[in-house]
Amino acid sequence: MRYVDHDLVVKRMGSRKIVNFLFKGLFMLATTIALLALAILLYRIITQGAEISRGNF
Amino acid sequence: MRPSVQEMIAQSKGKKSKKIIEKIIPILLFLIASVSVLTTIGIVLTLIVETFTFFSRVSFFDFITGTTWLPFSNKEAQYGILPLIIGTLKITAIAVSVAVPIGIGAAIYLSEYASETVRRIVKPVLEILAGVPTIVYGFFALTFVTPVLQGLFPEIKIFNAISPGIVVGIMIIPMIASLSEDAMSSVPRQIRDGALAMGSTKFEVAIKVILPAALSGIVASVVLAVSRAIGETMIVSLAAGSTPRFDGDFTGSIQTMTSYIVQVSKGDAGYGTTIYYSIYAVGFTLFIFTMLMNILATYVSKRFKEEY
Repeated sequence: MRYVDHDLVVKRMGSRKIVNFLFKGLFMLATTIALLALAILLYRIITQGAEISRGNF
Repeated sequence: MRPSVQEMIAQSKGKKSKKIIEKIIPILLFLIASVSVLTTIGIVLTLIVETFTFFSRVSFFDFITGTTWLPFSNKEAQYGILPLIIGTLKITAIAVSVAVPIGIGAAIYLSEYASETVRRIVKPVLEILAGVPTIVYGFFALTFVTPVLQGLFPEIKIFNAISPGIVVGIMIIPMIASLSEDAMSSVPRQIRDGALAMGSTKFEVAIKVILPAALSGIVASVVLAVSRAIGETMIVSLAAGSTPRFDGDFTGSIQTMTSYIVQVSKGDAGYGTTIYYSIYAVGFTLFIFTMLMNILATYVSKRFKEEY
């Protein structure tokens, strides 16, 4: 008796790997968005702060 | 010859000063611990007393069912809190829709996919977001996010619910990401390795093994973040406007419970007036909301806790 259908496992492996790859990208994107938000916020603080310190309101 | 332990204990017992210190220290520590409890009791009592004064002037039923909030009206002031609750819920809904997918996505990435070096760098960097003062977030919403949104959707007004909602969402991302990542990382290594050894991909391990195991921590982090979004003050005061509205429009000015309290506290009403007491009634409603969220977080944390 075969407990594991080897052919089926091999057949599904490709799609499972693709799903894993896609979600890895998605989770990485979520982290990047959070970091990007922080970067934009810090950039705005620094550039606006620099302008105000030069007297350009 | 050195004295034995029993002799040392006997000697120390004989010293009166030590005995007094042993008695004083626990009392002192108890007093220090009770300061925070007494402060909380004091705040709640003040809220309750002033709220009762408000309800001696305004009907409780009108307050909780009224759909018009017009305390500064020249004709007849109306104190229906629903527009303020709707405003608060609008901000919270947008914030949660931004923060939950990004926060949990970042937590899964850091916990399951990222290398130790990446995790060690990215996690503290993300936590910087939690340390930015909310007034800075408020200006960021008003001077950057709103103009960007207006460029994309011209119908959005300068004061709206979307921009502060997004920024409150950004503010609570580190809370969700960091606490969820902690919950996921605390799942025993053997469980993760077992699933990987059975041939699961990292995604399957994360979704079918780690997420259910860390569910209590993840849900608790989300509930705490929602609680923070409900109570957020400066961002909404600066960027959401001050128009209490009972409708589903997100593009125009709204008012939340916290921004109303700020508006009155800035000196828009004199001491002892009904408007003055209304901030306590609104504050009490806010307190009920956040307390319920914290009770929910504690319940969920206990209910779904996995013991290993």
